[in-house]
Amino acid sequence: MRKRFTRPQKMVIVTGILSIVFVIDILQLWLVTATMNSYLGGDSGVPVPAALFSLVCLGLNVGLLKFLYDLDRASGDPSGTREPSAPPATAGAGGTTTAARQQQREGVRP
Amino acid sequence: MDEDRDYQSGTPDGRPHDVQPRWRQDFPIDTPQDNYVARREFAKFLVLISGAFAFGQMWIAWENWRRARRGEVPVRQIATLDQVPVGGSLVFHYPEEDEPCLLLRPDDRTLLAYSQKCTHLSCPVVPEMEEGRLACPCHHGYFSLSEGRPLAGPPRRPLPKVTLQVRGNAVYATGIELRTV
Repeated sequence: MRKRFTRPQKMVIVTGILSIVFVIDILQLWLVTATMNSYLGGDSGVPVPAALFSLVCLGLNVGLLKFLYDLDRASGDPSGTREPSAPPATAGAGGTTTAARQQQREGVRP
Repeated sequence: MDEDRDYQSGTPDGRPHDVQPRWRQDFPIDTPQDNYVARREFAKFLVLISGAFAFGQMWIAWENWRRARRGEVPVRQIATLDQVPVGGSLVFHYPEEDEPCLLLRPDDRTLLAYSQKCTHLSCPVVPEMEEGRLACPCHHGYFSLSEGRPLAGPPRRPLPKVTLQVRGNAVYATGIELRTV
């Protein structure tokens, strides 16, 4: 069974994954410009390996995103938003009323 | 309930709820959760961008394969020596009709030919024989007349060079040299 992470832990994980995906995107951007330059310069040996590497990068990114969604699913929060099991007295998306907040401050679970 | 253990109502500026405006006290937002969802959605968007890059790479590979299938370009007569005076130039199309090229004759013994499309944004380049260069008027790019290499301006790649052969009085184009530097 997958470990259930707390929200601060999930925040660290999502930030880390976001950073990795961003770096891979920059790598792909560089790769596509370099490949286009070599293709227009008549080098026919570069495009195929570059396309394969780009596909590997895409697969890595999709895998990381899938991990992120699996994380939410394991937490019973597939949409990433509050579930009906969250505080019953809510106002707006994911919010609480003043009374519910008062209960939280006093250590009472809503 | 266990599902609620992470639940908290945060404020965007981190100050206590009591000092927040009334509207925010009445309609508080779970800010940490909001941040979490925003980052996750941004990660999703970046993966979409990654897919676009991979698609672009596949397209380049496809075009590369098509170019390789086309094979060698034909040998074709493009002009006679009489048509190109010393210090003059002539426009011809090679290998296809939509590929304009320039035949140059800087001196009596030299014949040069380049694609007329600037390697920056495909504007037609014009020869400036006295200065020994080819100029692109669109963005002031310059190429050397003798080699077709970029001298100044935005272009980074040399002009494709058309290889020539002179048989008697006729000038033949025999191929195209694409170059990166």
